[in-house]
Order: sequence, then C-alpha cells, then structure tokens
Amino acid sequence: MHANENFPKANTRLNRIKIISRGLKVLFLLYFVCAGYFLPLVHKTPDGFWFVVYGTYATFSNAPTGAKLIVVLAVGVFFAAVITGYQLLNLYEKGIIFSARNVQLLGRIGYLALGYGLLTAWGPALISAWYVWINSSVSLLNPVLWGMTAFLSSPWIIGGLFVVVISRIMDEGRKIQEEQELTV
Amino acid sequence: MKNFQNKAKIIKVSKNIRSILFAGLVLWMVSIPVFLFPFIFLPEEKMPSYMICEIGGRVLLASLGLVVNLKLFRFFDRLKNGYLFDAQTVGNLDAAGRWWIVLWLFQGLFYQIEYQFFGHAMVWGGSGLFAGLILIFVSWLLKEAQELQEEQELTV
Repeated sequence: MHANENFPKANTRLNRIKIISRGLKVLFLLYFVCAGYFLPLVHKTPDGFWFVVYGTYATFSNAPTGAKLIVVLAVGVFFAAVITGYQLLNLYEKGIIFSARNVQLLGRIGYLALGYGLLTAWGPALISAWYVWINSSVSLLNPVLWGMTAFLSSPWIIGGLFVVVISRIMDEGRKIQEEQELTV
Repeated sequence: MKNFQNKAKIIKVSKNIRSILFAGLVLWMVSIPVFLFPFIFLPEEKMPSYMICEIGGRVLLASLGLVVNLKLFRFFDRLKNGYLFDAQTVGNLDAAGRWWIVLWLFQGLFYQIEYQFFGHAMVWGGSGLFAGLILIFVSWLLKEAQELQEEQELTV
C-alpha cells in the first residue's frame, strides 16, 4: 500500500499535481507549435529588416554563418528542453514524483536552460567580438562588457541553476521514499 | 558518502544563488527610495498627474519585486543551512510563487494604464505568470517530500 493512501490531504495534492501536469503538457505542446514562429535570437524589425543574434540584415540569409550557427544551436537546445519537459510531465501525470528518471530529466532541463542562457548571453558577445576583430576601430571592451552584463542578467542562467538545485533536492526526496519503502 | 556529496552540492549552489539574490535584494532596496526622489525634491506644482501615477506604480512594482526576491532569498537561505524538506522552506517557495503572480497581475494593470492613458509601449508578457506557477508547482512537489520525511521520522 502506498503511504499517501492514508492521507487524504496528500492524495488531493497528488491529484492536483496530476491535473496540473496534464494542463502543462498541453501548454508545452502549444509552446512547441508557437516556437516555430518565434525563433530565439531572431526577430523582424518594424522597418522590415531581420535582427539575427547581434546585427540587422536585409534577409536572414545575409547573416554571417556564425550567427546562423548560434541560432541553430539555440533552437536545438530549446527543443531538447521542451521534449525533456514533456517527458517529465508525463511521469508526474502518472503519479511518479520521486524516481531516478525524474531526477535525471529535471537535471537535464536545468543544464539545457543553463546552456540556452549561455548561448543567448554569449552569442551576441561572440558575434560582436567577431566584428571587433575584422573592424579594429571598435574597442574590445564592448563585447566583453556586453557578455558580462548579459550573463549576470540572464533569467535562463539563474533559472537553470534553480532547476539543477531542485533536481538535487528531488534526488534527496527519492532516497527518502526508497528508504521508506524498505521500512514499510 | 554519495548522499553527503549531493547535500554538499545543494548547499554550495544554494549559497551562490543566495548571493545573487542578496545583490538583487540590495538593488530593489536602493531602487525604491530612488523612485521616490522626485516626490521629495520636486515642488508640488511641478508634479503632473501622470508623473505621480508613474512614480507610484514603479514604487509598488519595486516593492512587489522586493517581496518575491526576499521570499526566494529566504528559500535559498534555508537550503544553504541544510533544511531541505521543512514547512518553512516549502512555504517560502510557495509564497514566492504567489507573490510573483500578484506582481504579474499588477504589472499588467500598470502597463495597461500607461498604454491607455499615456500611450507608452505595452511590454507585458506571460513570463511572470509562468514563473509563478512553476514555483508553486515545485513547492507542491517539495511538500510531498516533506510529508514523506515526516512519515519516515515518525516510523523511525
């Protein structure tokens, strides 16, 4: 018998977790569909130009290969995080909260968010450094300062760290559950 | 041994996040009096109504931001001290999520007023709501672990 069966309050919360997980799964799918229209680090300016990572170009194909590579990497990391999140919510929906797989998936989401944050923070700085290198008139301090401020103010980096901590805490929870199952 | 290493890592990372949050706390505390400067130093006749609305709104936004930051700071402070699953730790995370949703709602109201009456750009998004809901969701998961630990302590 599961320990939570003795506690109606815990059961209610477990049911709530299952319902919210189902709702979040739908949201994740919507996000997945919408993400096709909103590429990270790319947006169209009101005057019809394309802003890609750092600079503005007439068309997307005019952007340098380095910038395109950063966009492709960011899209890959983003989709990997969405798929991992979906897998994790699937487990929560089944009522599996403390398992090794959950911990692994949570940790992966944390590291992917960290990676995405680093890409969005350092991507523009790298492209800016490239411009500095080919055009020596600009000071080298600019991309370094940009990178530092973007790194410190990125919500993805601190969010990623937060998820990594949560995955470690869930690992502790998993151990407690394992111990409890052995005791019962 | 592995169990000890895991806990040590939690404490180490929590300590770093707590330091970042402490810096945020100081920034919020500084920003509130800075927003209030015009109220103190400008004469009443030089304060148009839109400016009063703008300053008042920004002070409230900063105060709500401070509360969210404070709750998260306390959460990581508890983690840093090794309290992973107790009511206070979970409560702080849950409160941070709820206050974040309040902040998101107030942001919506504030930016809507600015957009309707003063023609400022609308910069309200759904990220605040999403972050708040995720924090509440995580706090429920931790609550499960807290109950498991309490049951285990009773069994032992």
